[in-house]
Amino acid sequence: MTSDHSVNVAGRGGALAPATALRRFALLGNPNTGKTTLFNRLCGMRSRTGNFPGSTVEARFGHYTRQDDRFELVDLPGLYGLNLERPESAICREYLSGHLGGTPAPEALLVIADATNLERNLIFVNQALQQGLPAVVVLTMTDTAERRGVSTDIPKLASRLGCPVVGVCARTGEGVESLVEAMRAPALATGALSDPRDAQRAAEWAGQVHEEVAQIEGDPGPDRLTDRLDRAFTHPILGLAAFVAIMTGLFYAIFALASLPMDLIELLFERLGDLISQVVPEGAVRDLMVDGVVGGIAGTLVFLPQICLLFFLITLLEDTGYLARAAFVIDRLLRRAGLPGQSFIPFLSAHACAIPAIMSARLIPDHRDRLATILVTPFLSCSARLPVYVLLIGVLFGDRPLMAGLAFTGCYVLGALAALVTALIVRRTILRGASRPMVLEFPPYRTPSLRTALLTTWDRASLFVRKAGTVIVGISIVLWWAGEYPRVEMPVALVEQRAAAEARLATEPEAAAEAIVDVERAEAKVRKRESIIGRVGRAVEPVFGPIGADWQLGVGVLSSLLAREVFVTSLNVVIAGDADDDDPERVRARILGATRDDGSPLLTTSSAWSLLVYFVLAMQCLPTLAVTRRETGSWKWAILQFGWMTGVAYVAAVIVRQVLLAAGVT
Amino acid sequence: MTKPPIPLTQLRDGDRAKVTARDMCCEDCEYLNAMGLTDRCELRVCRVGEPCIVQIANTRLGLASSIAERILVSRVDDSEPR
Repeated sequence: MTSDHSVNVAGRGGALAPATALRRFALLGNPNTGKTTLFNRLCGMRSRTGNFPGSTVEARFGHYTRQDDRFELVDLPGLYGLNLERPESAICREYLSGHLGGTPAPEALLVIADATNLERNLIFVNQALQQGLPAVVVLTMTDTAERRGVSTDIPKLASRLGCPVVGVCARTGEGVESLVEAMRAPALATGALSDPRDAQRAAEWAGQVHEEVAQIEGDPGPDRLTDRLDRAFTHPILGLAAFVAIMTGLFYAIFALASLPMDLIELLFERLGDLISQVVPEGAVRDLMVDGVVGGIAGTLVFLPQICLLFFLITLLEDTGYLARAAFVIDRLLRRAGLPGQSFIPFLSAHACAIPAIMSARLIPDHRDRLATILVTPFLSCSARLPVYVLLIGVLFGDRPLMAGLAFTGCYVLGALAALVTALIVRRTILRGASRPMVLEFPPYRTPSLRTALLTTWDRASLFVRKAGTVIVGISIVLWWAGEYPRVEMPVALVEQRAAAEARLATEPEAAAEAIVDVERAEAKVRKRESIIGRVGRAVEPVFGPIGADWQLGVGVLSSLLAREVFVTSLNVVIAGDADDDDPERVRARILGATRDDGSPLLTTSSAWSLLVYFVLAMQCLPTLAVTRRETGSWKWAILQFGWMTGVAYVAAVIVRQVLLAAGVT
Repeated sequence: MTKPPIPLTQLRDGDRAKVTARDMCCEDCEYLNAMGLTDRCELRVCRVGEPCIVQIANTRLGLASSIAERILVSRVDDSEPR
């Protein structure tokens, strides 16, 4: 145990009488014991989520401060056992023993036990108390236990374990004052514990202790309501119908409720860009600030409403107890593709953004299952693809809303199919083996906690902004620079055109202003063409040719490696030299009327279809690649993901175009 | 009176049984132990099928049928005390 405080040890049979207060507590407990609810009650928003060094195992770090009390709290992942051969158990063992480099070990433990399921929880309490750290055992969900007629003789339990025991209801805050008082003097457990390596003896010990301290009023008998709900929610037909209905409602809520805040965020950053343009003199610095930095930040934050809503609703659903049942329903489908049922949470999140989706794959216990999930998640159509879908489907079916709707649905289905087929291939080749059969605890059904959902949403959103935002802003600055430089001399004709327009300002101000705008658009097109991205676009034009794209569309595809929605803006600039006018009807009209260098239409039916298929399937998001690298611990998987998705997208797009051309559709 | 061991998947909804053996690797056994499904524990079958849902004291577990069929149990008569 490492500590920067001196501690008096009273010896066996006595509690510690600290010379100075212990500060750093680790919260340990089984999953679904209310540990996180208690952590939120103590720390509120004064917390952050972080990884242990060199791993993807997460913990939450917070602090409790009130008058003379200041405690640092570390909410460890819920564990069924400290001795299990699982990454999270191994990391927690190292952390508790102080062998995790760069992370100071805790000075004491809060060992959380569910009062409604004390006997099972005592097995873990037994393990935790033998870690050699002073502890306070916390019985949570005391309100639920009381309603069920279950009471625990807490003083007797404290005497049996030889350390302080406190009962709390984290939802209401009842008992938290007593807990804080106990945290001033945690104690090394001096009671007769059982050898945790002998599971049978440990289970018998837990049964004995439970019999001594627990009183149950009457025999409530089997919980028939929960039985009926479980049978319904896991039924092959009824369960699937419930799942589809709930997920449809969830998606509808996300897209319907997020659109207004997304529009407000875009407006806010547009105004910020305008303000900077007024204050900072024209030049490279202003362009960097407005287009690079502000544009990059806006491109990240615009997805925040969807991400917040998604995590809020998922947390609520999880808190009800439903998601564990739903995992088995969807497991029947996903297992055929070699994926576990738990993959559906990342897949769900991916429809907002692949970045938090890939991060949420950490909950999948098996390493190969997790890797396979991460590799295929970006196939699912995220929000960033929507502007591209809107543009291309608008070009194809502008006046036929039914066909447009079907095309939209088809894009989502194609992405999901590609994910499942890729998973199947991956599990039969590089990640060979069947998906690990699921064993999940089904928590009791209960009313979800709004407070927990809000705090989790805050936590997840902060993590997204911190992790993804820094990457996206960095990449956006690089890609902005590649799209703006090198600066070249304007052609003589344009120079003369500008001079002529400016000369007419005094006599024909309106006409001159319009002419100047036309010149500026033409200049922007020249700059884009001669920029690094423009030159690369022209150099790789033969590669994009088979999918029906010329260098202008190629520039759009290359630019959208930052973020898919940049395709539309980039096309706007290349065709019209105007990044600011994003009115959908005007953009569509402009693109329909645009031509290639040889005078042929820029976008034809066949090229629009092949580009659409390309964008459904391609990995057009460098920030996602960066997150894949971090979550898998290796560039190998990120490169494989990029190469496979780009290859599949390209081949599919070529096939689609060639089939259409062969059928006489140009 | 306990009966000869049978796979958990052969029980019916509502049956009570005692775990007698688990035909699986140590790692899986340890995980089930940690979740409360130990040798000689008594469980109640809530649902047979995929998943198999069992209740051990106040813990409710969902088990893939490929796991459940490797857990051998002895049926316990309802007349026996819990």
